[in-house]
Amino acid sequence: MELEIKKKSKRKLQTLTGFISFIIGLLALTVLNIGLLIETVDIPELFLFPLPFLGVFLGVIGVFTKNRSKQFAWWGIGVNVFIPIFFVLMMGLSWTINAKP
Amino acid sequence: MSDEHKQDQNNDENLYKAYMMKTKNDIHTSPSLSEEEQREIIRVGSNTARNATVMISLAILLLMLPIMTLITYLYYGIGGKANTMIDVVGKTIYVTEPNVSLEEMEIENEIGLFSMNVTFDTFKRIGSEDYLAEKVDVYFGLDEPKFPEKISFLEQLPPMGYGIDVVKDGQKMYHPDAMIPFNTIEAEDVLNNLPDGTVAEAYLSFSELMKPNEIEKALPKEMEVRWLAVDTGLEAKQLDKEGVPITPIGYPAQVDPTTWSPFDGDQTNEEVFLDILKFLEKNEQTAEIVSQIKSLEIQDRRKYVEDNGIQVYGAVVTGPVPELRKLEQVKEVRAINVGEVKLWNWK
Repeated sequence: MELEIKKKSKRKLQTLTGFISFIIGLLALTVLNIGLLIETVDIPELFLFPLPFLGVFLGVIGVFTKNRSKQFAWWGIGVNVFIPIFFVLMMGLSWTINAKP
Repeated sequence: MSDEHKQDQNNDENLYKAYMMKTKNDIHTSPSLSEEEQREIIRVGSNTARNATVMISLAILLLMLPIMTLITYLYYGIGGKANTMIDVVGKTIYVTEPNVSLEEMEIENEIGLFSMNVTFDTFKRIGSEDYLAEKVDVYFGLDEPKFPEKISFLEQLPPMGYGIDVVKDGQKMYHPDAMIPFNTIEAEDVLNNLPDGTVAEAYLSFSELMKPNEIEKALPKEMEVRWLAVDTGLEAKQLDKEGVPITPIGYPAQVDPTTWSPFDGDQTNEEVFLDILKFLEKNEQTAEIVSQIKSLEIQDRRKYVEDNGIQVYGAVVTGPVPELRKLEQVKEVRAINVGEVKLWNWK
């Protein structure tokens, strides 16, 4: 049986910006995991704020790109928003537990 | 079969043939792809799906540790749960371990996945100096504590384990109505045979219940009263209602100037002691595990103390050995049990 397609239809590829956003998110998450596993507080700031913000920016562009799948863009936004929120929450909670002057 | 029916059947057949012709025609005229192109589409499609699956799975895996860490911190942070546990640990030490103090500022906590370790050092005052007594590590799985792991730096190791005999062996102060299980002459011999140039801590059992302010007046001057064992109604029998041995509870006799100590002098030590009992009453299970004492019976003992006032049946004192020997002549002291001994440091 032959596969039939209509000429006009296009395959929905991922947006490039969404893909890059997701990759940035995964990279920052990896660094965050390494930091948690080796129990250090000296996680390079680049991976906590600047890179995730860039990831969110690219993800938003990806979401507004027409005729492209936005799956990676949404994941990119989600992961990149999670990282700074996680860090700020952790700082706040650590400060409340057994706080010392 | 009627003519009308045959005609309908012919019409249906014609319609069917026309439809089939049209369909065949459509297949031939519609754009189609070569087999190679079709394979390429399937390959690209499967690659895209696989990549998406791999990346999303990777993201989920990488999110697990941060999310579990965050949940743990939220659990311990919200409502001050971790701070309460740390408080329970510190205050339990003050009221259950004679002549043992700790520096609240130095209590460390380490939060793992759904668990927390509270670590701190305890000190004993022997003579005029504080000596490191134990390094303590208490593990909490969420809010369930395990028995503390202790590294002792004392010469007289505390009894190990968690049982009735262990509790009895650990006793060093006795209520006036309780029998003293050791030979008091032999215990005094220990003191008599210590060199004069040493300082020691001594556990005193009084011959009658005393008010806290009467104790210093009754004892020789060149020594420091460190800890007072309070009569809580159970010490005469040394058993709780269910027959489980109990250990002394009490409080430090001196104001503790270290930062954040509850006995910092803002309230009298007696008031702080009662406040601590009220606090531990709400966290009795944790306090029992931290102190490795099977039964604290805090509620009954607190009520007894509130009704009868604070009366002391034993005390821990420290000072130069020659001065401690004078205790043998004090009529209020019916037994002396020597604890840690150190070289002369008396100031």
